[in-house]
Amino acid sequence: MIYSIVIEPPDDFAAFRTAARRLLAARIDPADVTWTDRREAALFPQVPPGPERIAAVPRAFVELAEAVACHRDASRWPLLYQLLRRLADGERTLMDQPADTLVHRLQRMAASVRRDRHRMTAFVRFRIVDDDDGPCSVAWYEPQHRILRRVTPFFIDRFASLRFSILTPDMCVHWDRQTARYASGLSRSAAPGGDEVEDWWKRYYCATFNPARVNPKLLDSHMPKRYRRDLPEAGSIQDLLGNASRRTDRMIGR
Amino acid sequence: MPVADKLEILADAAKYDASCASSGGERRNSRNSGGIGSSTGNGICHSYTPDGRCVSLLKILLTNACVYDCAYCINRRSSNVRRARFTVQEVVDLTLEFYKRNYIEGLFLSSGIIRSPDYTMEALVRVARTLRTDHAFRGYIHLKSIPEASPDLIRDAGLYADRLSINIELPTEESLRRFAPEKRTATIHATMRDLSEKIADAKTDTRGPRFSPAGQSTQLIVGADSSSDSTVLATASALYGTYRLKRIYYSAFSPIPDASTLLPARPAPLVRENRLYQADWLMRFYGFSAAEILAGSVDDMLDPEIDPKLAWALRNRDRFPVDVNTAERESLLRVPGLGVRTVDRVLSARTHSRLRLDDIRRLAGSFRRLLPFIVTADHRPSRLLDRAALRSVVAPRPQQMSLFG
Repeated sequence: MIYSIVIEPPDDFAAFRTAARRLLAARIDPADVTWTDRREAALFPQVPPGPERIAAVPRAFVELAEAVACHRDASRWPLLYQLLRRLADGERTLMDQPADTLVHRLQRMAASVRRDRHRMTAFVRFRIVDDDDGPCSVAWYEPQHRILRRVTPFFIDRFASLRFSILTPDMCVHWDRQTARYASGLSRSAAPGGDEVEDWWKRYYCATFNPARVNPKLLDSHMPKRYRRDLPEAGSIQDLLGNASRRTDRMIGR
Repeated sequence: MPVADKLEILADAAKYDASCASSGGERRNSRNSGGIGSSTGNGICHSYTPDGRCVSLLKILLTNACVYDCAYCINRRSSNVRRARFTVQEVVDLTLEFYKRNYIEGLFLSSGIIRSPDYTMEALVRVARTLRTDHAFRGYIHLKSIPEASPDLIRDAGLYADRLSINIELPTEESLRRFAPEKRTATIHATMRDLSEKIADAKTDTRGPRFSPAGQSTQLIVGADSSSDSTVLATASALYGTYRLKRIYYSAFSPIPDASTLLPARPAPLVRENRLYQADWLMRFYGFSAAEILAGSVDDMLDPEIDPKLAWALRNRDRFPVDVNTAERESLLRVPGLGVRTVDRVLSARTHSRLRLDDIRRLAGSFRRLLPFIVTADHRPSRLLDRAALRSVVAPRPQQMSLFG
């Protein structure tokens, strides 16, 4: 018998956990499960509600699974269930075996999510608009993975006293100084335009660049091109690169 | 002068300071503070300029006017650079506006010396105090401490800043006297010592006043004088040991507009700076001493073509190959191509099974350059280590010269 498991929304770790506990209780083999984000795509019967088996798993598994849950790759749930099954079947030290093929693959997925989360904390740019309730910071951002829910606490920690909204294609979050409200995704055109401070920021960016040290390869490795589209300062990069050698020559009097 | 023009001048004037870290501070957030700002302890680079350097802090000078005449500095008294000066309020406002838009982690504030060291230091402290007390700002603040400033001002600076720094600038006292006639190595060292004691005291006495919780750092300019890399590394090692510095920044001498004739006309190669950072990491995280990094080298300079760990391994072939299944952590850390994180993963993995090359490939990412240096369950390097050509096997291939350069 093959089962379909629907995890909706697609980053819902709690839903995965409940489904996985039922599968463990019924001793269903990972090969007999298909996982999907959409109810209408479920081809096989769902696992009926029933007893759940709460396996004692190491903390490291929960941390790994919470990160992998945000990954966009469809293999995330089947791989996590495979790993959980092996842990539950007695491979207690599996999480300490980074060379294991499955652990290694999942750790790479988790690392990709963590990198994406870190980049989002760095590259989100707010623009401040005034509405009926006063100023509100609004940012448009396209994360690589489904990380908005996980990154939101970072922005609340940082801007608790400000109203802010972060818009992404998957979903949006609105913080009103008290609670975070999630809503469906929007397109880039919903984001506001820049203001005077943004022009100052661009001038700062140009001024802090040293043309004598120009290094486009290093720039590309730290700030890949796909992240630059929504960074206001990145519009200056071409000019700065193009003029660098002329400016350096002038400094050293050639 | 419009604030945006000042910003341009005073950012340009500050960019020769390589320090950019926003890490190592306290964990804090703005929930219930009424203000803005947070710190997770890890720094964030919010952008990168086309020189590949990160933009983490709003790095500016309060003013680029200066009574000193240090040859290497664009802001020295005798330079004809355009001068500007921020008010305290302007710096506070810029920091907050940039921070709210998530451009920066906080402020890096330095200054030319105007009127007196105390006058200047007091203005720097006033910026930090205004941000912290009037605006409940919990972002990162790095303040330059002026060596000659009075102890009360330094104490206040440490109360509000996450990190303080004093730049030693040149690796030897003789060079400092030649290039920076108003500065004294002894004064710089005395202030560093004072800072390191206050930082240590505040760490021990957690109920006492806060003092620069992210420690202190400094900067060394390389290539402005004739000091060798081994001199630079010896100076660095002594500074880390004596004053418990968090970081030393190495800044390859870069040509500045309207340069002093004391200076070389050409920039120091950036690769030299890169190799010094790599050697610095070997000292801080890989258990290397300054002396052994360059022991046996020809000219006391780091090899520009290969990284210092590989260079060391090629000079110390008797230490290899290292068996990844049995070697101590210290020996694994010496293998070129094995970083700290990989070594820890190897140590964890090998308690469960004998590691083979395929395991190492997964743990280390790549392993071609590791092959001559390691033994695994299914691999032992042949006489490769004895071949004089080993260097050409493991060193990265030089890039082809451009025909149109």
